[in-house]
Amino acid sequence: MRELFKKLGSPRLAIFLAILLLIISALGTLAVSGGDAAVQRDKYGDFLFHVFTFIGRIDLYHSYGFFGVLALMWFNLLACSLLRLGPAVRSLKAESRLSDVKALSGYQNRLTVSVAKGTSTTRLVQALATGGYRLAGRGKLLYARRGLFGRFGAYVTHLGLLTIMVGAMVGGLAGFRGYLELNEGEASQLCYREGTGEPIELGFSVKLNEFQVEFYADGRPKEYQSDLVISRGEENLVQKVIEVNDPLEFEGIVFYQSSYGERGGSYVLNVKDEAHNTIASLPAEPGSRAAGKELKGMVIEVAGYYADFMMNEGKPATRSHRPNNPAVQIHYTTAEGKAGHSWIFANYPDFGGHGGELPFEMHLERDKSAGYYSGMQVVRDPSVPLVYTGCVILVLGFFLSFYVPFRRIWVLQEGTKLTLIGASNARGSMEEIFKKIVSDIKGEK
Amino acid sequence: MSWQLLLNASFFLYVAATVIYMLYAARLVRRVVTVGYALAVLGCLLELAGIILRWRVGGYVPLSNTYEVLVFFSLCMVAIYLVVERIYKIRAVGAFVMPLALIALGIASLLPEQAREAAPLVPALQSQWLTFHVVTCFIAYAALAVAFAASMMYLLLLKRGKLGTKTDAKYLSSRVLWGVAVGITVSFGLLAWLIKGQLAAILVMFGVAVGGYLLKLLAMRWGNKEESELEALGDLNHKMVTFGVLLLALGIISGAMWANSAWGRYWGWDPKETWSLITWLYYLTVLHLRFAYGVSRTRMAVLCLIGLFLVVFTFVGVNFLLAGLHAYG
Repeated sequence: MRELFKKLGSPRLAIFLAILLLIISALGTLAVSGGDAAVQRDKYGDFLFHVFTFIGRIDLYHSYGFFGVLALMWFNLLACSLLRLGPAVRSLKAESRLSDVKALSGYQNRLTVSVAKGTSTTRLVQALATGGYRLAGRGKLLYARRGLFGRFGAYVTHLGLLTIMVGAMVGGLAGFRGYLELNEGEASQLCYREGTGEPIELGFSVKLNEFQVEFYADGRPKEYQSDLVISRGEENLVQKVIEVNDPLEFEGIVFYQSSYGERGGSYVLNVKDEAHNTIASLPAEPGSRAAGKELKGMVIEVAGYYADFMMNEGKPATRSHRPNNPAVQIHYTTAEGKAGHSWIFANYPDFGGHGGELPFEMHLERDKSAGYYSGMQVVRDPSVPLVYTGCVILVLGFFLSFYVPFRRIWVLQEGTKLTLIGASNARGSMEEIFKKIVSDIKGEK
Repeated sequence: MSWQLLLNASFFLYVAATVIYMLYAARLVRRVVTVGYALAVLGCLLELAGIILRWRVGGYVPLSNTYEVLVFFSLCMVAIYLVVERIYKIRAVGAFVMPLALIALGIASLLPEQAREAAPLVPALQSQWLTFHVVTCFIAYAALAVAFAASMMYLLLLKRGKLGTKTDAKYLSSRVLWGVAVGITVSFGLLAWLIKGQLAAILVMFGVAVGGYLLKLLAMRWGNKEESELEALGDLNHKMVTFGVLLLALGIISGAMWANSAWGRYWGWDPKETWSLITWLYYLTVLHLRFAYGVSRTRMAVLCLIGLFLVVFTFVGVNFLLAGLHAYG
């Protein structure tokens, strides 16, 4: 067991794993998934395309292999830290009990001065304390140190990383990521798991009261927001307007504003005369009819509506319920009693053969009063506080290890001869520090 | 006065400062280097003023597209360098830092007109995290770029002064330096190709190659052949890498917190996220190699040269080559 632990904590393994992780992560960013395969095949060539789609297919970052590397890294980091922590503490203890100045021969920072006879130890300790050095051992040698936390900065950093990694795993196991699309006025007690679409019970009901979107002059969205109400039974529990960067949290489940779109099934067929005045307006639903004086005796009837038009085995069909390519088929009878039919597409207003028989223009247009649907991401991730704690620990650890130098000073008093020996984990000479302390000892201003 | 004018002025001040620093590195001038420092400070202030003016004109903190962050990047590099020059008193490093700042500003001005205009922010960018995230990331990149410059100077000094051990000498073989030179030339060429097309790529590669060669000729004349200068350069390199690692950690963490408030996930293996993590892990590995394994300063310098490629790739390469959420950054 001990042997295994030592192997696991080998710094060689640490470097190996770090490099392995670098390479795997870099490979993962090449993944191709989704998008237009033909375009991408053209762009990358056959071979690269196959490599990239393979990486995309195995979903590298969520594969067992990648998880294995991370897990091994976690144990390696833990073992590395624990294996070194004990000896580090022991050597500090041993340092404080040193009595033989010969053991310090390795330290280059030293200064020997003569002081007034009878300079008391108290005075020395005081001078050290003024410089921020706290006495940690007094025998034949005085031993004072400063920045002890700096000595352990690396361990703090490691603890931070370990915490973040545990958090990420907890989040993956105990949380879920789903989505939900609601029309204005619609409520739901479910959301749908990302990727699989499997329904997940929320345990309460969420209703979209109102959706609003504002645009810049160039047509890009400036701001969009959903007014949500959460209720259980008859009771309304929470109401909040969410927008991008400002989600709603309820019982650990967070609703993020992620997208919006035009609501399906809310198109109208506008019939316009030569002056482009709308003379009739029919809902784009099978069976709706228009006739009358304005139409000069014509009868127009909607025969079929397709929100996302496509041809399926020679027959018109719809690909989805979202209005990506709305189309209507109309039947008409002219005043002379001649019957015909035609297709009108919202996205291609110039398309459609009326055979010149219709004295009107017809446009399939969005019903402006119909509103939007709001797309939300629904996430439960109990690991967030843990991960953030880990981040704080990590940054603290960096501060300690980079900016809190750990320094020790041994003072040997032999009559009027005073020798200061210093050790530091930061670069640079301790000469200035020694001079300051000596001048304090001598009581110079 | 428009922000554009201020940025142009600072560009020319940087050009002048670069020339002076190079002449200093070549030991052709001595005292005049103070003028170079003063010009760089002035350029830096004008650039800052330009950014602030654009902030007021555009109505948002100008850190949201490639152009704006390139300008900010050059500001960070010069500012960091001007501070550390005071501390470490190795002025010749300016001969490497100033050209990097010039290149950043130059690439920024190469971008098409519409990419340079102030444009209002899409909802995902309207967050108080934006400023903190971008500022920390780019200070980190800038610190790592200064580490690159210090490493370059360190290696040249070592070669010139015939200092160091035999193992050091191996890293200074022409092959390594040639490799770095070709690498830098090609990556800048690639960058120009992605931004402006073939002709720009050829021109930029030619410019970098000629400029690099001149720089080498000049810089090889520099150096007092003193161990203490090597020491100071190594120390500067170390300080810049640790600073960069800390700031990059803050940048990645703030990015994660922002992503969590915007999309409900703090980490999604988006290419930009992943590459910033790769860069961060790389420099952490370098630090461990140096301080836990005790590899030589020379090796660390070579590793810091390579590291800049990761930084540049994370910064610009990802935007142009890989799809992701940061296409605007």
